[in-house]
Amino acid sequence: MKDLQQFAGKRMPYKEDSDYVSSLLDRCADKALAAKGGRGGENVKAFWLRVSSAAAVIAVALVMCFNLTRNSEFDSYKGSAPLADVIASMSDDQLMDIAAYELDEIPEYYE
Amino acid sequence: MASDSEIIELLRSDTERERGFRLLLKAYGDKLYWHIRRIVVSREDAEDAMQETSIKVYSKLDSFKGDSSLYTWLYTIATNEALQVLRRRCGLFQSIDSEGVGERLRDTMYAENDVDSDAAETVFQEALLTLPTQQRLAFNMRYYDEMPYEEIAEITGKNVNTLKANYHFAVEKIKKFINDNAI
Repeated sequence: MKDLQQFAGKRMPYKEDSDYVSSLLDRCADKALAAKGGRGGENVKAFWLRVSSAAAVIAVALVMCFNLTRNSEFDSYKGSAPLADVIASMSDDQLMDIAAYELDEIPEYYE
Repeated sequence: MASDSEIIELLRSDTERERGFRLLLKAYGDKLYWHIRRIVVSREDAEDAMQETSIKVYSKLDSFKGDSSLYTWLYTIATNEALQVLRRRCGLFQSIDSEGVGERLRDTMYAENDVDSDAAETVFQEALLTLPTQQRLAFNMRYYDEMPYEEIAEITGKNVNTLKANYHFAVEKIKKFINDNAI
């Protein structure tokens, strides 16, 4: 190591003087202090972003659950076929009473 | 200049933290800057890395428990930030330990700095830039900062014996380069 010390010592080929480095360090300190404050603001934003994202996910999950529940209700409704039960339980006269149209309103039936 | 314990006391105080941080940079900033500058070579990159180091140091003050010395802690952050900048410069497809990195840094040294190519310190830097990055890092900390191997090991996460071997090989390579190239 002694040889190397004798050759170039610890000199560097760069030109920055101590004033330059000192001024850079002052700027670095200012920016670090400002960034800390700024990052505080960013943290608040990030917090609200997380809260709103979580709320959106919960809302979507609730809608999905609601739809799934309804679908399963519909499936059980389909399985029990209540309309068929109702019709089966009605008499012919009752069925005629709820007929939506008269046969003679459809002329082609008579041609 | 304020002692480490005085700086740490200020940093732990809610009201004096800012002053403590400024004192910290005053005490160690110069060494950190040159440490970074030697790693990244480019002045612009050195400024960026120094800036990132300051931001990281200030934002992580609470995580400094005093297990290591303030100096070692600061050097660890500065080294990581400098290597990060170097990785960005190398891009996705080139490792910082690949051979082309030294050449690129040597070109940067000549392009960005008004250096005298015949001056001993320039030849010395050129010799350093022929070393793999990790070896160069270990050499810089030992030669310029005169750090004990144990501290370099703490900063780089390498084994002390590996560092000693690295340093030995680095010295041999530098001597050979100087013998071959110095006028």
